[in-house]
Amino acid sequence: MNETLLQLRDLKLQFKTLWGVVKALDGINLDIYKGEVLGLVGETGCGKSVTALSTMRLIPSPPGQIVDGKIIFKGEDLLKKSEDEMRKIRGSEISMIFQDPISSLNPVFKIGDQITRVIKVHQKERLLKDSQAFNHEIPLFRSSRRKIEEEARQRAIHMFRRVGLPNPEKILERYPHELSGGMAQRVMISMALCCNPDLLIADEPTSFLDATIQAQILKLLKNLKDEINFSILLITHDLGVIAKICDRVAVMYAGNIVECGNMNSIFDEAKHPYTEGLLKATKMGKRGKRIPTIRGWLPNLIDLPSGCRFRPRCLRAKEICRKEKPSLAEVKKDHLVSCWLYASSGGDD
Amino acid sequence: MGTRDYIIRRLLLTVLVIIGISVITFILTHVVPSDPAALYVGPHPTKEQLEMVREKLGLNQPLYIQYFYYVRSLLQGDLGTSLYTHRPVLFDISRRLSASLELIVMSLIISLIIGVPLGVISAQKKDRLIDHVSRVISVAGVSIPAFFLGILFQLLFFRHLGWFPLNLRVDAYITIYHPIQEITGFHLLDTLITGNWPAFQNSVMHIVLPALALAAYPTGLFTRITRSTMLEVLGEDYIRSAKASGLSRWTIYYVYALRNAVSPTLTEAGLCLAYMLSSTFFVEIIFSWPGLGTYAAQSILANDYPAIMGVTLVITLFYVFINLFVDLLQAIIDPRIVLR
Amino acid sequence: MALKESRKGWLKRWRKAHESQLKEYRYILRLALKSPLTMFGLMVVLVMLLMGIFAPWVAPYPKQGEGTSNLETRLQPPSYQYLFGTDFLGRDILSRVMYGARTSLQAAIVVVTLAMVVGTPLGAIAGYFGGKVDEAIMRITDIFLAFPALLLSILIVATVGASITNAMISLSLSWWPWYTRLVRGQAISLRERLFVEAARAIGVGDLHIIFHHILPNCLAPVIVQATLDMGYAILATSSLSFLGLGAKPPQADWGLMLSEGREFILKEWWCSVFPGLIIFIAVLAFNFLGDWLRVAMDPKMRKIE
Repeated sequence: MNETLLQLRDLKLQFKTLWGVVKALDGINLDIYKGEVLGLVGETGCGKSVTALSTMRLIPSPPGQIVDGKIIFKGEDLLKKSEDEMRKIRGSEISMIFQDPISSLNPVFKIGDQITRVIKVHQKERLLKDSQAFNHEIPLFRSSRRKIEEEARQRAIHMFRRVGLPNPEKILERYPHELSGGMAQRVMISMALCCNPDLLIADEPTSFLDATIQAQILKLLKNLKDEINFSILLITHDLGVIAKICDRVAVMYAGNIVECGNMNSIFDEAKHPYTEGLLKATKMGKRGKRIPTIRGWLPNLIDLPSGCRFRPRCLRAKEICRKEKPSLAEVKKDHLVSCWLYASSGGDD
Repeated sequence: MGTRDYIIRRLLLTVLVIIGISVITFILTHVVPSDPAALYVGPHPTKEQLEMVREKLGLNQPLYIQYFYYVRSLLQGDLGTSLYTHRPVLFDISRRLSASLELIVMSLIISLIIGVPLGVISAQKKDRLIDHVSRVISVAGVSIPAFFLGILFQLLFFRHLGWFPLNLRVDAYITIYHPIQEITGFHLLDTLITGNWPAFQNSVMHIVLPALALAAYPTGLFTRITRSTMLEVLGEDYIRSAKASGLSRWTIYYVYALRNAVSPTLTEAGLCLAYMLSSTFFVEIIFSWPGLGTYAAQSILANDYPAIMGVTLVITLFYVFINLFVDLLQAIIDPRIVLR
Repeated sequence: MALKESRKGWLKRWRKAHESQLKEYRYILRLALKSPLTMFGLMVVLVMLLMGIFAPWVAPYPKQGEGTSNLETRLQPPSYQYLFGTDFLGRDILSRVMYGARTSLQAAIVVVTLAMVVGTPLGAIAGYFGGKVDEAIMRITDIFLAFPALLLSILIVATVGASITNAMISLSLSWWPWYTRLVRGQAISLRERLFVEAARAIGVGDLHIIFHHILPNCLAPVIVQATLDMGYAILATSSLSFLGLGAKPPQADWGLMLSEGREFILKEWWCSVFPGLIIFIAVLAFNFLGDWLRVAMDPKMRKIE
């Protein structure tokens, strides 16, 4: 199980804006293993979505720029790949689903058109071979196109069934605005999985859905993962979602991973003050008691505090926290923290 | 409501509008002037002529009966008799209509071919040189009066460079030695169909300058509209998902994005047609192009009221039907229109 | 003592009271100063205004501007004496262009104002009341809009006789529906807003709501449209005059000058080119101004200061 699928090493991302340079990601270190669900959790604006988009190199280049680091996927550095090579990877080896499923689908095309297009783009040759396997014919241009189309349709229907959509044939003929949120998200999941990717990135896939559908979709993702065998990077701000299906979790704050490791370990014994604060805030307080909050607010990413980015809000800040930024270090088995409270080097007490 | 309901509503609206147009033109011709008959008879009328026209128009009867007569004669295709040519107005118009249509259609084709891709590229490469150039072109295009541009073209391309002819649709020697057989009324098509190569060449040379002059406005408009809708569309979620699925650049811009951008462009195209219909008048006058525009201009000079009225009605009806067509086309292309 | 103090500080206090509004205007002004195209537009419009107002004093040959001919100097090319050359009746084209600014600007202002004044309240009423009132007004609007741009005006002027006044009225008649449509859309989205409901709950009359609450909020797009329309109104009046349906000779009007100069276009090009050029520049200038105002009034395009 413990083979590494994706490694982010010291990833630094910046945005050039009118008001200055926004240092959105400041040296991200993250590992995703094969067949696991890794949750990436943090406040809105901490950089979770941007991390995901960077992995797929979908950050628009005039304002945004990756200035340092490596993204190692299946042994190769994605940052060194050309745009054409990345296009082959997107959708077939790494896929992504987003927050609002209905607006993530093109409103003027039928669902069927959209999913078959994705299938065809990545699997033209395989589709042709598969359809020929039943017919033993020499392909003519037009009839081979029809065969590819038919084969793609069959795959789409098969995928729809797998994600639990009723009447798959009818859905192919529908337009996005005719679907409910839950159905649309299932369609998105089908589109993301139709070419058997190794990694699925899910950016807040349930935020726009109501609670019951949320649980269904999460369960669906877990089941599919076990069946087809891929990894999931699940991005969310909701710790409840993490608790439902994640194996490991990474906590992010202001462009840094502050804590990461086995989910149970982190939930039971959070080490980083920020994680502690988050967990306390989500536990239901006793009657009459206030819900504890973390004082302060997110730093301005242009004008960052020196040293550890969490220092201004941290109740246990030390002198060194002002001077140097800590890095991720193992504090228990499969539990890393980036905090001077636990680092062996240079901490006064 | 479904597409069908939308279509029905739209058709009903068209009928209402046509009725309204007839009412307005009726008011203008029968109610506003102090002596409507005078408009139809022309200068120096004799008493008998006036009386005859008065009978025909029913001017001695109450208004609603006059309206009834009016509508009846319209439906019969009777647009009055031209005071200048003394032929039925409808006949005069029909002979000129295809010339104007050919000019308008050519301009629209040119402006679509130039304007839409320019808008798409401009959106793709925002803020780069091509973007700035195209924005200048589009503002200049919509601001420059078509007749002024026509005059400039005549000066530059005829007088100084001698590349294109000054005016008219076709040279005299063509009509004598290679006469054009009229099938559709569009010289460019007819000459191709009958294989009349010299006439085809000549017609092309003659249509270039007026069509370009007329195309300035729609080109500018299409460039700007396409660019701004493309920019809007490119910021939408589904474009991001499409990129994440690994679709090619060409597919994303020209299939996914453009299809969404088409709808507002079509609406604008419909509106711009109105402007173009008026512009055509002036361009035709400048280039002595034998279409409705020159017909209207000479009618205005000659105070040929029935002709002016006839031309206005014909063009307006034409415009109404084009708008209907555009709306229905939109309902098919963009299923969301129907929801509004 | 108290009276003196209050008189001295009045400017400061006025400024403070109107602080937020002044900030708005300063932002709009800054936007203008940053964009060379907008500055160009402003300069041109200013120059045209001045030309129009002060033509009798500024034009080199005012009498000719008004129409007196001087057959000895017919069709002279541009020279130091006659900067734009002379036309077929020997009149200085520069002066005629200046006088033409009067007619054009006057006409444009009248047309746009009339169209605005008629169309805007109709649109507000249609949008606010909805239902049958809305339907009725919109159908009438649709009917007027069915006529392509200038055609209705041409027809009206042909019926009632050619003159600048008739041209202006007929243009307004074909233009008001655009404002109605524009304002109606705004009014519809505004009538659902909370402050309208609140006003109604207090018992404020509908008409008062329309004029005091809805209309002021609709003004932004109307102003943008009116600015753009100034340019197109100039173009339209020139077009009508070109056809002989507007200004009549010997009046100085750009469209008329264009048509008068057409005979001589191949040799004495200056007769038509200069009037045409100035029409072009005028429309261009108002287009730039309209674009500037559109950006200035659109809260979505604000940059955080």
